[in-house]
Amino acid sequence: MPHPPLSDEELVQRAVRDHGGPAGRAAASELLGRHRRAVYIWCWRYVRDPDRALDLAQEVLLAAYRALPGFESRSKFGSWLFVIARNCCLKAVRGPSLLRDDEAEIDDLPHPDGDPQRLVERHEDEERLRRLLVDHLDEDERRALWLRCFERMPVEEIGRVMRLENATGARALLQRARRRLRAALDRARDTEAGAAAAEPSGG
Amino acid sequence: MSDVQCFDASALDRVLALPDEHPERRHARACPRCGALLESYRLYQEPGTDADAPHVASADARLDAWLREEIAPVAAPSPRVSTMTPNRRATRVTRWDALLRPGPALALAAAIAVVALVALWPRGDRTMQMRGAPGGATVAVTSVRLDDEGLHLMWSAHPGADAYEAILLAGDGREAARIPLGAGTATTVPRARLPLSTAPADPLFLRIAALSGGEVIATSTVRPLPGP
Repeated sequence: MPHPPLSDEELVQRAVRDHGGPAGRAAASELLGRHRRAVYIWCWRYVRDPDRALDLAQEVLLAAYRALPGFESRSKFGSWLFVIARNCCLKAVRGPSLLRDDEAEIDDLPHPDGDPQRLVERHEDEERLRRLLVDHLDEDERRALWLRCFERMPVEEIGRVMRLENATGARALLQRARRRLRAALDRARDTEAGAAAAEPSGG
Repeated sequence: MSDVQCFDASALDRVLALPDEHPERRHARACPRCGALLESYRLYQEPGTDADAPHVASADARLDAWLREEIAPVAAPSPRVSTMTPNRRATRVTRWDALLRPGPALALAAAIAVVALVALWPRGDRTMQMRGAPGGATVAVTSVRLDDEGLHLMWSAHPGADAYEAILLAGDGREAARIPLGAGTATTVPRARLPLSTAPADPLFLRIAALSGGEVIATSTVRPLPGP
């Protein structure tokens, strides 16, 4: 009678208990093999090139194998591996600007200079940026913009996540979100400039 | 935005399982960071129609071979569960599987041929040289790809090797070709040099041997040659 398949968690235990040893490596190979397809598809969605996606998937699986001893079982193995895949993909692709994105065919309005714009371009103050998005964009707009700029997700995938009919819908959503964010940043800049002008000049 | 704190990746499965009205799910809808993380994970779990693309099957087979060669040891005691689960067998599309598909008899014959090939190889005039290979299969083949240009190969360097050669084997174990690969660890063998045209339907297998002074000092495992 065949043995029931081991769960991911049981394979993790075996892989960690004998990490680098024959039994541990066999368990790790089986464990990572179960997830290799999802990892590859995820990588391909980011880079859209099978060879590059394969390299990236190998990088993810190897990184996961090396990091296995540090896996604390606070989460399921699948979501832990997803985080590694996500981080590898984020490193592999350039993040588009919040205000301009050639791939998304954003309009050619000149984008403002000034501190708020530089702030969002550098992604330095995530909390402040998040507040800005929440205050000025609707739920779909901020979700799409965040996926594009921080998850570095291709426009086609954003359409899929947002359950839009096609990528054109995602592009339109991103375009609208950027326009509104740009307007909000302009207002913020004008407010700051006005406040600075109202301050008495020092000696 | 809600007062619920942002969650990290370790909470993804838990939050996904919560009802829509739960405060953490409401938070995910309001918070672009958490919402994007959750939606990304949901997309990761749903390969959808992307899984049907031909390149996915090809990559899946290559990743499978890579995991077996790079992560799993050659002669490791395997976990209780077979690595060939029904689900994965069904999704892996390789030339090898395609050849096995016509019927159980052919599958059995091919399997016996492979077992015999692995068990009996090496035989003949190279026996002494192969027997001297330390540890048996110590050359790791990291990439094998066959296309219109030829056979693209990558393998690991073996200490002391000054040259490598590819040994192509027919399904019945006969040596079909022996092709010098030079001293590097990657090359492309032009298609014209491959014994493909004589019997294109025959399965071919590959082994890479590391040589030192013309003597085989290590070999890779035998693996099926992928289709183009």
